[in-house]
Amino acid sequence: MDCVRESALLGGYIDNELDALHVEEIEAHLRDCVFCRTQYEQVLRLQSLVKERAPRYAAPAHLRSKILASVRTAQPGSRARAWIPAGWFQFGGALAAAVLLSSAITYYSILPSNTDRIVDEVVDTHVRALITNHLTDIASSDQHTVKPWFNGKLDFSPPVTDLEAQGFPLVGGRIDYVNGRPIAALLYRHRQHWVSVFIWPDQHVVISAPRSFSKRGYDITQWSADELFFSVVSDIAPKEQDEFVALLRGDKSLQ
Amino acid sequence: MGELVEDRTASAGFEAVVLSHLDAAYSLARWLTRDDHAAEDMVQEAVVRALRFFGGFRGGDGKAWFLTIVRNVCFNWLKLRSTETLHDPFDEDIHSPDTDGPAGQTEGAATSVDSSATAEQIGAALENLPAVYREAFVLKELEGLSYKEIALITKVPMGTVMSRLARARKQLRKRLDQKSKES
Repeated sequence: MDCVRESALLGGYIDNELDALHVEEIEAHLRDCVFCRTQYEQVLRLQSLVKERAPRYAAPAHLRSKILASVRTAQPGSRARAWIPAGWFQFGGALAAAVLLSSAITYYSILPSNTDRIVDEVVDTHVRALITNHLTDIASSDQHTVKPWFNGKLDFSPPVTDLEAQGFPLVGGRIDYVNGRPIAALLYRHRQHWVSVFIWPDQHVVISAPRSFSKRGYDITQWSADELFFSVVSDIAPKEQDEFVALLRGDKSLQ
Repeated sequence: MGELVEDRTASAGFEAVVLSHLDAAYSLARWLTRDDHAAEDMVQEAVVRALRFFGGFRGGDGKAWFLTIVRNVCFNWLKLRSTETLHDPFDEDIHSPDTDGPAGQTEGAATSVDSSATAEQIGAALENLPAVYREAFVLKELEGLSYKEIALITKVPMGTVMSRLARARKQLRKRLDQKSKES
């Protein structure tokens, strides 16, 4: 094998882009040819140097919000309508009434003793995701894509519902770390706002009626269902957050 | 990434495609234009175009789809604003007899990537690559795309992607060479 031809193929080998036949050929050649072996090592070294140290550019926040705004005004047909579809008020009203009723009873038997800490932690987690722009590990508005993605990554299966038609499109999911354990984080969008839903199993906490807190300008709503503990964090209007929570909880029982 | 954006309705998809790949789009535009403000303009222009063409997007690889538009906008800009060569440069290594093979081993084998290179040095070396090498390298090493995706975005055969990457790596190694840097 001649080394000139090798030089481009070597890259293909490093990038895992060659078929088995070529891989074998290259590996045999690398065993024999000191020159190509040095090339190989140097490319690997370059690769790790670039990965580790090359400047990274992320879209500046002002660009992101400018684009969001322009996308929304440019899509009045789909966007503006999507967030208040016909029948929303009827549906939402019924759910809101149900929530009012259940919170009037305010039935919760056991609260976690570390409620405050957990509230702080979920707010931190929400803010950190926005600041570092690490919003999702899997970006998809398809609940059937997001839900299976968690398989094998967590020891429980979080319920995932897209609420696009109700004005809360699912943006994606990621794994985060809260309360000393890996948890499922779902991200929804409501107009210009992000809504985080954090889910982890906790069979000792029973909060059947959602409880809301305010911290640092964020609203936090928490409840439990099916031995899972839910926390919603966002800066949307409290009334909208209540509707979102009702949708999340309501949809589950409808399925 | 392809499977992540499949089976979307148009209205659900656009924002998700654009939003989740905004950083990749900005990064590509920034490396191609080598200018913060130009990169922002390119991304905005690309979003406008993407919005117009989204009806034609039939699911599949949303990242490649959006980056293709960003790339085209950037190349149009480069065509107008810069003196940069936008095609594969004439490469002496390819067109002169075998300088890279065993006969010319001294040069290639002597290059040793300087692991103390700073971010600025690496950035400068990258920015100095010809545009077509630069985009292939950025898409591969910083965005982690496959040859197939890069071929799709840059509209060249996969073999060309492979050889451009090889050239890019070779030039970078030369620029980040310990000895040549010291001299």
